[in-house]
Amino acid sequence: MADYKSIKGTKIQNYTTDPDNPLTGQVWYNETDQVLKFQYTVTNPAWSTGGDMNVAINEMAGFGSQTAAIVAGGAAPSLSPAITGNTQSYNGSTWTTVNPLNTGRYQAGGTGTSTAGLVFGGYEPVGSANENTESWNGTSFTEVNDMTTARSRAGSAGTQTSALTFGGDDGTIITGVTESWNGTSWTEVADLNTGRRTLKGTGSDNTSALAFGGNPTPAATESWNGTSWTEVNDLNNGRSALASAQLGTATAALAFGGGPSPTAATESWDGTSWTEENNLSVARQMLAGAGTNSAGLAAGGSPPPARLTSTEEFNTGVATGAWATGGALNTGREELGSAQTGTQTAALAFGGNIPPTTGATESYNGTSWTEVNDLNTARSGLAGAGTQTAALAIAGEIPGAVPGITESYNGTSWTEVNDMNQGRLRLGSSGTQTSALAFGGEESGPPFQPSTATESWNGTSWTEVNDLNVARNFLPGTGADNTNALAIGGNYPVSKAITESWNGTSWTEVNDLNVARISAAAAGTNTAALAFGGTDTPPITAATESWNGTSWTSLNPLNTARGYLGGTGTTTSALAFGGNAPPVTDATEEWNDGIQTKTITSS
Amino acid sequence: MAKTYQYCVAENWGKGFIDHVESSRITFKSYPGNVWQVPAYNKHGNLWIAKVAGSVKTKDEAQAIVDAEVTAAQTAWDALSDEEKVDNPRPADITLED
Repeated sequence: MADYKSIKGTKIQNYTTDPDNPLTGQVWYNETDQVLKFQYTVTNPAWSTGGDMNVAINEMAGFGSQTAAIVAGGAAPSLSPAITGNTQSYNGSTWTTVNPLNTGRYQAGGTGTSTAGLVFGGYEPVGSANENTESWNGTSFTEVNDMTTARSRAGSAGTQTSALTFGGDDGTIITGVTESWNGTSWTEVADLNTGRRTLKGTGSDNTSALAFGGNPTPAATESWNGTSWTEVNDLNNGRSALASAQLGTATAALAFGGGPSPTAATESWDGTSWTEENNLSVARQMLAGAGTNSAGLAAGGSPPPARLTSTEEFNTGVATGAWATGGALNTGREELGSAQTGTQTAALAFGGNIPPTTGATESYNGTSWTEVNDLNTARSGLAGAGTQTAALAIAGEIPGAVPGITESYNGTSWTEVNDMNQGRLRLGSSGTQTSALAFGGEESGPPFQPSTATESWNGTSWTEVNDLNVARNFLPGTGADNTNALAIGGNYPVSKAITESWNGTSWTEVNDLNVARISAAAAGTNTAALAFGGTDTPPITAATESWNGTSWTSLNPLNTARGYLGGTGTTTSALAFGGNAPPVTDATEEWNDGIQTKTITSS
Repeated sequence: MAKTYQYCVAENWGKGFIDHVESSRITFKSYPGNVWQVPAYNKHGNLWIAKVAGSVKTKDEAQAIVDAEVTAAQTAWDALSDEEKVDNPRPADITLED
């Protein structure tokens, strides 16, 4: 039997305390505790954002895989006619409009792959179900033999040459009729036990399928064995107008979204029962689905009356970060400043509103906060930069006044340095004590006016540089220095999902947050950031999202939802502290990206 | 109707109150009055309540605790000056989920 050294090339190391930064997979012996430990990554299934569709649309047929999908037909008010044959192809990152259906329609069934698909039934025009079937060869649709029963809102399963459709309605009457496709023609076979419409299905071919959801039995699930349907365990969250990962099977399915109130619920089927998985980021119904239960795709759909362009991708084995509680601040407060490039184990919090406005400063060592010397000027709505021992406190509000006061911290005390050119509060910031950027906020008032102004700090003075594209306040910022920043969300006149990236010269608008919000906190750089908490006037949110330089992905939420909080760290190891839950809170939470240490036991 | 959530009262003592593994397994929500919501009929939720010595509350009992806290906060807000109210929205009522 191979031993550890022959596999890893080194013996297991002995430590008196756990190593500071063990690698995933590393094994070591803790001599003090006399236990063997190893480092591993916690993984869970999760949704992340994909590329937006070219058209905001719902009620399409979807088929194919997560990286090679087709959606066909649907209802898109921006197109003429709105009941459309529009067809779009997804390559895993972008959608391309391709050749349309010959017969425009919505609520059709679809199955197969991106190079060998089948679309059947649907409404065209409104309220008139058809039996039309079209075959997709990767380039265009060709009409083939019709179904025997015209219908819309049916379930579908199988391949281009071996498919099944079941349930639906003819515009008025709900049916349980099932038809089997052999590559040439449809044949009626045994009905569903419960006739229904707006259901979904999945299956490998016309001998093995699963039907689930729909109206009027929204939780019902039935399994097809090639001859008859058998009732099996229900969905946990009954729903209609849902989607399925169309390439799934009768023993490995994924159900997501649906209505009648738009839901984000996602469930996976293991051949016996449904298990709840992490939700879609955007609750929606009448969406299209593709892929498998380990690599699924959700596209378009509605929170009525809107139509969506957004796409989400479901994957298993995603490293799962989470927030754990940390030591509480000595003084709970909101609208506080943070040394933005601090770490989870070396952070600095200063100023804020208890109420009243405070200049209190506290230092975190990874376990507890310690009070250190106060700011010279107590204020709230200020920004921060730097580290625990070399920080910058930027602007903010003294009750009734908004000066541009800047203070520098040397690890012991604060010293006033040159003011900003434009005083303001509730601004964003990034960088270090000697290379910082401050942006947005509120310039004067009351009533306060939102600002686009951006200023760059060189260690001595502030210089005005190019403005943000969108004026807003209550925006968190993060970034490495005055050449690297991210401005996230914010407010004015409503909460925003806007994200802008700073390259040292100008701001560029990039992809939006999944959850629009104001007064969130942030950590990281403009290519790897974390945004957490905030409020959407109201409610307060616990939402956490990760930025990879291109798009935001939803992660596990804070345990205590709050806005107006402080944050620091990186995407792998961040800190959230203070804020307003409500009430004003002293709670601290520590983000870990899923890397965990486990003690090995013999049992 | 089967409940989705269960409630307890437990004071957040900071580090270790909720650890990363617990947080990655279930979703926690905190409410005023040290009220915590975790999934019902869930092993990990039950283990966490036991760990923190949480005092289990029915939804109605938890709602009463939250209501009292919110009412106190609303009363305090009502006493603020108009100037102070401008930037501070009145604390909203909170309805716990079943």
